[in-house]
Amino acid sequence: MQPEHQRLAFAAMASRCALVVDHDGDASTALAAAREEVLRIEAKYSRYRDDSVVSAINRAAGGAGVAVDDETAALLDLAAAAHAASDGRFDATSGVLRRAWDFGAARVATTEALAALLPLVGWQQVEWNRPHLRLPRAGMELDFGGFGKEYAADRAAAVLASHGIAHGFVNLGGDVRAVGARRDGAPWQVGVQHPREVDRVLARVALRDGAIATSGDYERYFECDGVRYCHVLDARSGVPVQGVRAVSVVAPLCVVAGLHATIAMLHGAKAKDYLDECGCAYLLVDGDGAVHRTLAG
Amino acid sequence: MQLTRPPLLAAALALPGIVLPASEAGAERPPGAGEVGLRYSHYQEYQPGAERIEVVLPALFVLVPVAEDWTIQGQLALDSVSGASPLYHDTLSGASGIGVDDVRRSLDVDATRYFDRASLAFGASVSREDDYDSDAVRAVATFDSADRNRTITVGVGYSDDTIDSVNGVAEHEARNTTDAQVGVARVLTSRDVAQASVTFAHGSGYYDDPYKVLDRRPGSRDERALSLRWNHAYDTPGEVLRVAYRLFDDSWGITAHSVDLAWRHPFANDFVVEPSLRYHSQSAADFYFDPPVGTGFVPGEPYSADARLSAFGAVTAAIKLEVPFGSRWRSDFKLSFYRQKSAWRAFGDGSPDLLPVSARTFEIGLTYEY
Repeated sequence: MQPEHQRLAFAAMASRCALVVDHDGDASTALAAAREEVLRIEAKYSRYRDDSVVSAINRAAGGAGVAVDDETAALLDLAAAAHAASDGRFDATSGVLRRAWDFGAARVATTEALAALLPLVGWQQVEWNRPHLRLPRAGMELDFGGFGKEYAADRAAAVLASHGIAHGFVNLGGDVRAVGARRDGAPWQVGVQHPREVDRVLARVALRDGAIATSGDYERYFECDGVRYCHVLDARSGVPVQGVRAVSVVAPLCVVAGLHATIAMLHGAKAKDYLDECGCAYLLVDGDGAVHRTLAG
Repeated sequence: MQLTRPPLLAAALALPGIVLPASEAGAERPPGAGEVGLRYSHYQEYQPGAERIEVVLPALFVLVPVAEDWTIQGQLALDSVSGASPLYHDTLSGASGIGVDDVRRSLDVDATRYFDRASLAFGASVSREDDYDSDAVRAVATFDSADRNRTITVGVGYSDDTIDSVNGVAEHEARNTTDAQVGVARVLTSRDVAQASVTFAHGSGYYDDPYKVLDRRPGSRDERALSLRWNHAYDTPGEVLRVAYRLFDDSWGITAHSVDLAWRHPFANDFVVEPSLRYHSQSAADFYFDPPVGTGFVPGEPYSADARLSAFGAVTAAIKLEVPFGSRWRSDFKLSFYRQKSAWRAFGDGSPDLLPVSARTFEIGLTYEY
């Protein structure tokens, strides 16, 4: 008989979240602490909350800037690294482009709207001299989408481990970080969602340690004149990427898996080249639906 | 393109508090047995290693006699449901999250008009969930014979449901159900009342479980049920034995038998104890296939691996206490345990390779009479 897993499901970061542990003894304290950690990060970095660090940074745009704490500083360093690693495709200041793309109304952004917003986008403009951060133009916005949730998954996993949990995983809206295999040594089986047939699992990935994250054009998108516009926008042009449907990456840390998956998406038809170079195990569904994978399973 | 890996990983590794202590993973040896625990004071369903659902249902109940011949009663309930049913995979990695965690808001209102030897009730219910909306109406009429020894009940109902699963599998899927019920209750002796009723229901629309990886059910379901009840009153006022049997079958191939036994025993001061026992046994749906998932699946044909459609037997044991306090207040407490096992099926073999399901429900109620 398979042992009962202890589970905590909750909503955070606009996602369904689950913490699952295979533990001999009551894990409810560990689960609650891990959830608190996710909620802490959400509260600290949500751009929807006035009292968040991100809101404080954004309010100071065009002004004197702010001094940030060590945790935020490390995340900003990561944002800088992701910007560099993606040749500017991934940009933590690209959130303002959402004003031009109305995914609810399925409206293609006008050239004028994008032209008006693109000057507000660009990590290269950001004045980041640890611990001082300044967004030079009023209206610029920073957000931690693309690594905030992944970071929370890594932190939640670390909280579980610090409570003595050696077998479990954290799933924050599809970003999964394992905390050791099952107690019998068998890996966790993570299904990778099919990008077009939502009720299908494209592949199964065995995870003992490390993380898997998926980026896809199916999370939020609309179609107009036969073209699919997804929410993954190339920060350089302000236009949704084409030529790749989904990327799942396995990496030691969820933030790394998530950033590689997103940056690969942003490479469009060249996603495979990027993934081959980044050295992580991956599963890629290209624009024609062909599957490329280095992941076994 | 430049070499991208080192800066990204290096920056990630500089994040505080995300690297697990190396000694933790795999350091613990597997123990001999699994753990099954009861940790919540509401409804909790558990199956080793798989499905788990928890429900909390606070409800507000109002019964208002608005005029001599009318009552209006309403119930406002709020469910919280949390859990997940990833039966075939431990978890899903996708660009959108997966799981089950929603809140249901529902409102039921029933108005009843009493006549000399008849009553007519109309009711409506509205229920809203993240992924399931239901609107229902019903009407029930009762007619007593002149000697009031016989009561005929006729009822009809209709519900209009919309399913919008959060994972996007079901988008504005509809299901409509019509049901009708006819029953006759007869006073046999001064202490015995028997009732027989038949219920028919026809539903059409979306029946799949959108949260299961592979679940295709027929687009319609016809159900028939025959219920027989017998209530026996004892010398002590309020002491009652209730026995019921229900035979059910449907167009999906499920035939079910249920037997209910309940004994209500009042003690001094209106303190009431009511133990009850229920046994249920059913055959599997025609399109239920035994694990492993996918076995027997033919594209275009119905398929389900939902354990609720398997062949099994189940026992529910419950105890209810009614404790009055003051002249107008009454409280009740009910604790029930449910256990479902393939091997407990009557009249045939249960579905193989399924883990038993258990559930515990605790209910607490408070009523004030005015």
